Amino acid sequence: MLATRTYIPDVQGQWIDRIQLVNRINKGLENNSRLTLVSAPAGAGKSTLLIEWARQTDARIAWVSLDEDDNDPQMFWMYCLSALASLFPVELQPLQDAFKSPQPLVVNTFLNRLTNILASLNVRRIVLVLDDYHLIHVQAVHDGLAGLLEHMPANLHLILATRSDPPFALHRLRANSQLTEVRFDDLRFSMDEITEFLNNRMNLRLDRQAVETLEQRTEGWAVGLHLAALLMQKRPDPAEFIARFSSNNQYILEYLTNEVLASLSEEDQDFLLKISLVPQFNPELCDAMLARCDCRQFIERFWKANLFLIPLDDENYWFRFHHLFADLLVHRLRARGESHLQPIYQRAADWYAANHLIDEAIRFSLMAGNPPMAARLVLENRRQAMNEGDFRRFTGWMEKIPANVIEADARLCFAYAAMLSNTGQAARAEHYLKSARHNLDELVAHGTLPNSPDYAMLPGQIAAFEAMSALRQTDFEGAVRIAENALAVSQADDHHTRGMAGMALGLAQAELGRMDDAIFTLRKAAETSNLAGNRIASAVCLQQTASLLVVQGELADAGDLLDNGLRTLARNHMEGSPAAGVLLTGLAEVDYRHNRLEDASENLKRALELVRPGGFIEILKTGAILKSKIQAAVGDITGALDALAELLAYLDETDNRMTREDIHAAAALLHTRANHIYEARAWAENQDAGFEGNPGLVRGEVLFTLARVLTYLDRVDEARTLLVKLEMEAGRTGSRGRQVEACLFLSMLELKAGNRVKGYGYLSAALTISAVTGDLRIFLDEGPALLEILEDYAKSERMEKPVSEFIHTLVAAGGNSGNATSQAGLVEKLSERELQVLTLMSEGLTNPEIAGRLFLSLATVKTHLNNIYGKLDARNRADAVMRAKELRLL
Amino acid sequence: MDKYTYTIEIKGQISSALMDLHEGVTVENREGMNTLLHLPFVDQATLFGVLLRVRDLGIDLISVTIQK
Repeated sequence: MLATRTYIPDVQGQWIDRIQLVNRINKGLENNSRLTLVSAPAGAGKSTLLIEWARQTDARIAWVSLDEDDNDPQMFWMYCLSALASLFPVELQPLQDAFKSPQPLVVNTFLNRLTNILASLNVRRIVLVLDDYHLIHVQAVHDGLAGLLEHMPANLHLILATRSDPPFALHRLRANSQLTEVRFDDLRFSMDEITEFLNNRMNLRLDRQAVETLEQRTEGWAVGLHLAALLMQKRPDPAEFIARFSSNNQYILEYLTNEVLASLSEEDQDFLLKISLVPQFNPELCDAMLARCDCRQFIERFWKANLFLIPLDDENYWFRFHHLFADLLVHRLRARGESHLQPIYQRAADWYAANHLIDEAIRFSLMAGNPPMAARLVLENRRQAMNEGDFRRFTGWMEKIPANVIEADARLCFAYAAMLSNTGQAARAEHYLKSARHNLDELVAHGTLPNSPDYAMLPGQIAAFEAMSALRQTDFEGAVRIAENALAVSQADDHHTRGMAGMALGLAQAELGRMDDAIFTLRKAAETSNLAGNRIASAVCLQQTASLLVVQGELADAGDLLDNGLRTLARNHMEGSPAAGVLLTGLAEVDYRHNRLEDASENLKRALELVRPGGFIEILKTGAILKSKIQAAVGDITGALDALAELLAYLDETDNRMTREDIHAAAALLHTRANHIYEARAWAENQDAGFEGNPGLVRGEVLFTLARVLTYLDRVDEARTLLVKLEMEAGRTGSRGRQVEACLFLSMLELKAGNRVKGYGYLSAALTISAVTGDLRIFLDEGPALLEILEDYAKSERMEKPVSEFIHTLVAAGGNSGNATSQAGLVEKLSERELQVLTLMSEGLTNPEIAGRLFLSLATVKTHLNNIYGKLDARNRADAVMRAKELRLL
Repeated sequence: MDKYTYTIEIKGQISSALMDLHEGVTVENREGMNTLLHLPFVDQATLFGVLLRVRDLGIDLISVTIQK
């Protein structure tokens, strides 16, 4: 990506002040117009005007010189962001990080974040200039910009320079005085301005009639006047030139350009014509293309002679020609014959390649009729593009290469398939994956597999992808088989492939109910992916492992795993990356299970901020479901249901094949809490309670939910049968988390049916296991009814100390949820955690005891105590307890 | 898209080289009059391509007529 595209240009040479027009723009800004539209033909002086305006303004300016590539919304907004980020690097860094994610940006979300950040800046005026907007013809970009115009922050203003009016609701902006316009008639030079320009700036001393003639002929068109003036400066007799000029009818630019070229030496002409083939040039590139070594002098001469060279950076190193000039030159050159051009294109391609300007090298090698070179460049640079997360750039290259060239090379097919799948183009990815497999099989069959590292890695790579593909199509057995094969055939040091294969294997094992295997596989895959620098894959593996650990009842391990993962990312300065967002989602789940609802909420909020711009759908789904659970936990069932409905709507908008079973199950559970019998029953009718062996992650969750809903619907026998079977599988496979769930629901079921002995038996089993795992939420989610049961149980039965303490914790936690609103009388309310500490303190527990009970460190408890004393205005424990009782907090 | 024959009238004289990227377009320069661009049996995508070219060269567009 050349920084030249966001460089704020400058003009050199003599120009006329366009004060009135500059003032018009300034006045518009002062009156808070949103858009300044400079709409006029090429060469009318649009950019020059804007540059003059830019020189005298105190607004902060971001400038983007658009080109054809910007018709991809991802590229378009990336350049806009880049230009703005050069003004505000720190504040916009998170958004820039989001572009590194493989998932395409969701433009609306991006724009929301952008406008929020810009609005929050303490800057009076920010102006985004988009030059050459007429090059944009894709509706998606127009829509995005129109959306931005509608929701502009007050301190942002847009300036568009274009050759055609853009398809925005200009009339509406006009009606609301939010539009400033500069059109061709405004830009045309008046007689006075032309006189000033020709006679004073260019020192031509023409009489009034000569000036009039020129004005008629050029119609005040800036570029025509400029060229005419240049020519007249060289003539001893300008009048003769004018006479000739005015007496013919030829398109003036063609006429003038021909005259200019005719006035130059052969060498100069050759230089101009050939260099017009590249969009931008510098001395070295010119030397390479022309096979010379003195192009720097040419460039300097043309620059001084004002021959339409436009500098693209501060060092006068990169230049381009004025569009019109370049256009006419190219056509002159073409008239000589295409075959002459190919060697020049090739030399340009070679130079670009040697200077690591891969995009241009690829383009020019194709123009040189050299697709093999283009293919080679793509292959050589694919790893870099992938690791930098620049998938769209890569797919952009591939789109320019002829299909037959791609299909002929298994490596290209595979690389393309991988990138397509990463950018959400599943169907095309499948196609190229098949081509890759087909190509590879042919080579092997004919014994012609080349002996290179590229090809050695290919079988493993293709298999790893096929495994992910099978996984996405829910062919779990298939995914396991292919992934194991991938691991078998891949190179030992091909960490990237082995990481992907491991991830596919582990995820498939999880859905087949092979939890311990899955945990082992995913942990390893996380490490391997880290070695390959594939942070996002590593994060996904860790997050899934954590979910499995929760199911197995290893809550503490799950938390540690995620904390370590975050520490590793922080060490690599990636705390703000989507990978971190994935881990935070997992951490939020663990917090939720520990009933640390505020922490869960905070972590989830941050997680979604990091993940959302990239549009990573699987995590967005997980996060949304968790959010609804947290909302339900604080009593907002309606909000929770709305959140799930929103999630389903969002998923419908995007093209994905993800399962929605888990979302519907979560909604069904909420319906039972809200007493929506009809909805609960409707969902239950559609469920199949049968299963073989240990259910997978998603299936298991659905089955447990079904059991609860059946209980709610009083279909006791069905519920009991299902739960007994689930408990048996859980016990057999060591899934302690599920064991607790099953025993708990069985106990509630039996107690409801009046079977006290059985009920308490199950309850005891559930409590004994949970006292160790610390999972509070399984119990608390059942609401006050369960808390009553626990209190009765505690009174009537003898039990081990850990269990009785655990019940105590539950009751304390349960009694306090929803306490948030009853802290009237406090200037600063206590957090939930602080309330828990306070409660335990009031029961006479020491600090170490409190720490143990709430799974906190001693230091954290002491911090909480200090905060409590502060908020309650208390001097010591007794004081605090007394104050708390006064305020009815306990 | 259906194909028709279009005639585009533009101001001034241009050389045919400027339209060389558009296949099938002929440039009719007429002494002392506006130039005609002939687009025989093309679809509208081609027509718009030529119109954009006229725009990009800053040439005045006078008229577009269709011959069905």
